[in-house]
Amino acid sequence: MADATSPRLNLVTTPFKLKGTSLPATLMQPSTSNVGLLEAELESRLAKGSALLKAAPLVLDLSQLDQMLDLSELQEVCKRLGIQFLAVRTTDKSLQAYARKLGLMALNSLDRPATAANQEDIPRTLVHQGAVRSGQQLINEKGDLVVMGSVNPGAEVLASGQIHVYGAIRGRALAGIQGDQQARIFTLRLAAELVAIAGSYQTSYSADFVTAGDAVCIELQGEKLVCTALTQV
Amino acid sequence: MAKIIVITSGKGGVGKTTSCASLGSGLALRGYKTVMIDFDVGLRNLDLVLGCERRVVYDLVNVIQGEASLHQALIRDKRADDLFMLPASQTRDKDALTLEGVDQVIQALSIDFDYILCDSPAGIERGAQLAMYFADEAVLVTNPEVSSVRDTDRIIGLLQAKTQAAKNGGKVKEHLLLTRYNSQRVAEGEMLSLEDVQDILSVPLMGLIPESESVLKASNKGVPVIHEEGSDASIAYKDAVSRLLGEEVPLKFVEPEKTGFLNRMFGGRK
Repeated sequence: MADATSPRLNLVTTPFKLKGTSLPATLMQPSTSNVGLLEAELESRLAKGSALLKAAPLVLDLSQLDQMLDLSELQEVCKRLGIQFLAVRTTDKSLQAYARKLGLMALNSLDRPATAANQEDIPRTLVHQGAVRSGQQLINEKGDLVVMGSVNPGAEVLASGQIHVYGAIRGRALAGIQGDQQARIFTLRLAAELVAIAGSYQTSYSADFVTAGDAVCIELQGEKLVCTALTQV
Repeated sequence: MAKIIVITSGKGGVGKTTSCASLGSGLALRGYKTVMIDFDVGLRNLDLVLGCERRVVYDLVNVIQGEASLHQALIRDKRADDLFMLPASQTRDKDALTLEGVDQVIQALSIDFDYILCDSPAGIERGAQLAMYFADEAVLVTNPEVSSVRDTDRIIGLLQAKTQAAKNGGKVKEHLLLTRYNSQRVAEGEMLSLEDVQDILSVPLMGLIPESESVLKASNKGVPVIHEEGSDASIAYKDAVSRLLGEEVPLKFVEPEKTGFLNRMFGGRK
């Protein structure tokens, strides 16, 4: 029988996890291609303690500049001043190639991704309108699940995160299916056939488990599933 | 363009064929050209309930397989001029029905008829799925009884997944027809009430048909019960037809009848 210490569902083990993240960066828009002038200004700002130059990597925006700017010279300057020169934003393909040769990232100014690169991994909540009918199974492996209705007998709802049911749970509800023991189940009326959190389950036959009544929250404490009443406002 | 309505339930024996016959008759009496198709291949009943079992020459499978035309297979009802039925085959089995065949028959019927009622067999297998596939609306026949309610719930799930409407991003319009309702037993707490049923199903109520002896009598005579003037079931079916057509009718037969002393001694249930 599965319990909290040996969950039925195995956590997937891989050498590393990839997640999207955001990094603040500073955008520099030069109005001149004279690296000497740029250097002087950079020095003066650094002397004044510019956080934009000290604490964040630099992205050079060349889309407004008509003249050619010597990238390798600027790279040298930045290295000397301790500025992280990270990327160049330009539509000029040859300039992009040159930037890459220098070890910089080349960004196309016109490219504006519609969704964030890490959109896939952001935990999303699945919201289901209406009741979940007998025989239907709703699964969200990447987040929480909200049901705007009841879960009927013979229906199943599963989520890697929390489960919120704005109705009665009369079927089965399984939260934390990827092993998250902090996952909870919330419902307006508990009359479930089975509830489970991270593999620990309880059928409606257990004597000390709340099986009917008002709104409750079910959570895992240690190895036991515990029911607490949700207070009415 | 015809409206295609499937009469389904999941559970067997709840009153699909009985209701289909009466609803079809009711629509025809209101002047709508109506055809009823029996999808219960091998166990056909719709012809019996309508009293036209001796006039069946060709059936749905014959039409699909090109052995007969629709015109030859359709049987006109004796009591309502605008009512026709297409019987199921009794000797073949349900594998003879194909999706393409059913599609063609329904499309051909859509040209001339206002309403196409599909009498579904019990269960959730092929016969039932074929009957519901092309439906625009569904009448969910349910008894106020736990197994029936759960099976209806299951069917609703299938309507939301395995129909043409669902696959095109639309929805089959659901109507609840609660049959064999005994308000006396509900009042005594022996039977599920309308509220109990709606608590689980949450489907707009189309009609409530009270338990009535007239249903069995009519069935044996081969007359749809809606024609039994004055009986509770007939009144209830007429109300159901009205609500199906979008009219608002107050719900009857929910409360137990207040009977006098003599009635309780000598009366039965009409």
